[in-house]
Amino acid sequence: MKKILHLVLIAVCGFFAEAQPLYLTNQHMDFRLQYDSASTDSNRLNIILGYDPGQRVTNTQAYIVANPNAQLAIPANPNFAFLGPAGAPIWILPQQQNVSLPFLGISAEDIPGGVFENPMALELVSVEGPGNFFVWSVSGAGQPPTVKMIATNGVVSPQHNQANVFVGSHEHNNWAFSTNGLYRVTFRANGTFLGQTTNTLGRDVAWSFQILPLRPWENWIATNWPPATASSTNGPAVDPDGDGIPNALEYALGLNPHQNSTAGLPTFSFVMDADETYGALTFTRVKVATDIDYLPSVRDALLAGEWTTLTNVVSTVDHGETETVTVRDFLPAAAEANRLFQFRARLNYP
Amino acid sequence: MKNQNTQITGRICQLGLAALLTTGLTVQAQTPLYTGHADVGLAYDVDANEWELHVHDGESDVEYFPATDARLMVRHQAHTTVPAGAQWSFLGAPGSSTWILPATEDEDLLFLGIGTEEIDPGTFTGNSLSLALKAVSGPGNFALYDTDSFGDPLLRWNSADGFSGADVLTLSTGGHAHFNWAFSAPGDYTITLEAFGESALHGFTSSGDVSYLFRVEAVPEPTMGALLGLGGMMGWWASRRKKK
Repeated sequence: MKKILHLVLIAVCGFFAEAQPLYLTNQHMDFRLQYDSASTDSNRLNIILGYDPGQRVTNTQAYIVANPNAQLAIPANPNFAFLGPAGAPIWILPQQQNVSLPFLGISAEDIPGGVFENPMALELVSVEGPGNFFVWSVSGAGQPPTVKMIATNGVVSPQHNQANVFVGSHEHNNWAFSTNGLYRVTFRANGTFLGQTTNTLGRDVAWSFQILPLRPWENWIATNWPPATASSTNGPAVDPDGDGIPNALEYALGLNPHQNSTAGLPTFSFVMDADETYGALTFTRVKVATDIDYLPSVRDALLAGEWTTLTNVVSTVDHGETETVTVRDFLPAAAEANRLFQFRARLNYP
Repeated sequence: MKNQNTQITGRICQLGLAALLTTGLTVQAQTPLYTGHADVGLAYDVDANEWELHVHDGESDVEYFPATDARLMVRHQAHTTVPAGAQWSFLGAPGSSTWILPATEDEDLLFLGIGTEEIDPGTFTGNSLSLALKAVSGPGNFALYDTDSFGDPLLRWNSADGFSGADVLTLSTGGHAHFNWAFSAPGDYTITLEAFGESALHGFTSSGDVSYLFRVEAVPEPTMGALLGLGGMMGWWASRRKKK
């Protein structure tokens, strides 16, 4: 029974791997609010992404990608102090079309007339990623910006948590990030039915932004899961394939996070070096995983004592993208009665 | 007072027409567009090598062709003053009057964009075309500008310094864009545009000169308050008559 379950899981993961996500880098695109009168509760309001004439995708099908030319500097103008100190970098998907960047708007053009009060809104629910998130618009002549969304350190400002949009219309905004990287931004549509006074909230819909360049860990996440995957599945400490190896270790060792397998874990052996026998650990190092500290270590008691990182490399075998590294104890096996070996990998992120 | 005015004219131009008829004034040939989303729509029939520059009213989904069948209204709520700073001098002297239809939606004003949604990818080289400001006739100057992400202007068209290659806007096909439309004085304007591009099938192709009609409303004088109280449109027309 258990084996069958595993097979099913692998099949599902295989499907994800084959459905290549779309990378939207420079199109005109809109978050399009959707109303489904046949659904109930929060499922009545959804958010999809429209791009080019007539194209539609859901949140698990596409990344919104900003190339490095999205990077600007925060101006000295005090109206923009909410972004951070003047001169600090900021990555912006701009309100005005730049043909080399996503031109991202919010649209309520699919919402039928006569159902909702004006305006409706795209509400910010949460931001996961390496930096802060801002949305604002500018208009007219010399007026301060209309600040719509602010999320700093993952906390959404209760004063700045939504962007309005009129039924049948659309709006463009500046979408900004305080650093490059992979972001998962969760929104929900909201609106008030005509004649009612309370907001009807849509369901949470997370959208993934790639503000290039990605860090190696982010790149691994984006390669192994579809856009908008929750951190409860692809977070560093999570073990979605149930093999006891958390994602960060699967990443560090070049393993498949969708395959329930312990093959490829570090191994212990005795090695000869200068006529002495040493205990040694052999592990796989992924060359691009520069945000991983590989920490093979040893101590002389099971339950106490400091771990010492092993640095005596006995051999390195090159496999292209990975290499097999063997490091030995700094004391010969004969010198100590008890030696406990441990392999750890530390992810430095963000 | 402002609320009452908004309530009467907001998004319902038919009401305005009804008011005109009952006051017995000459009914204008154009349909005025006061509020809501509208586009200067650029269409091109690749088979016939024919352009169709029109006005698309997104509220009623009506297309006005020729474009002079519509009058694009710049309501008095668009009135503001030119800010300080050299980057704004193209609008006039700091503190002087300007009327701006903004690039983001204001419920009291027309939300006017430029749409190329009707032009399919591959129609023009580079999937882009040009829209030039050729002439402006009216009581003041007209300028079209973007703002960058930090609110500084990126000037696209400006009638104050004549018409040249500097007054050419490049647009991606298959999309739309919003701009700030700025006028320096109230009154009626005829703005002449020309669209052109490099057709994949026909080579260089141009729409020729196409006129668009705008009307910039004067700011109501305080004495007009009572009339406005009677009805927004009637008050406004009375104000127009008094000016003449």
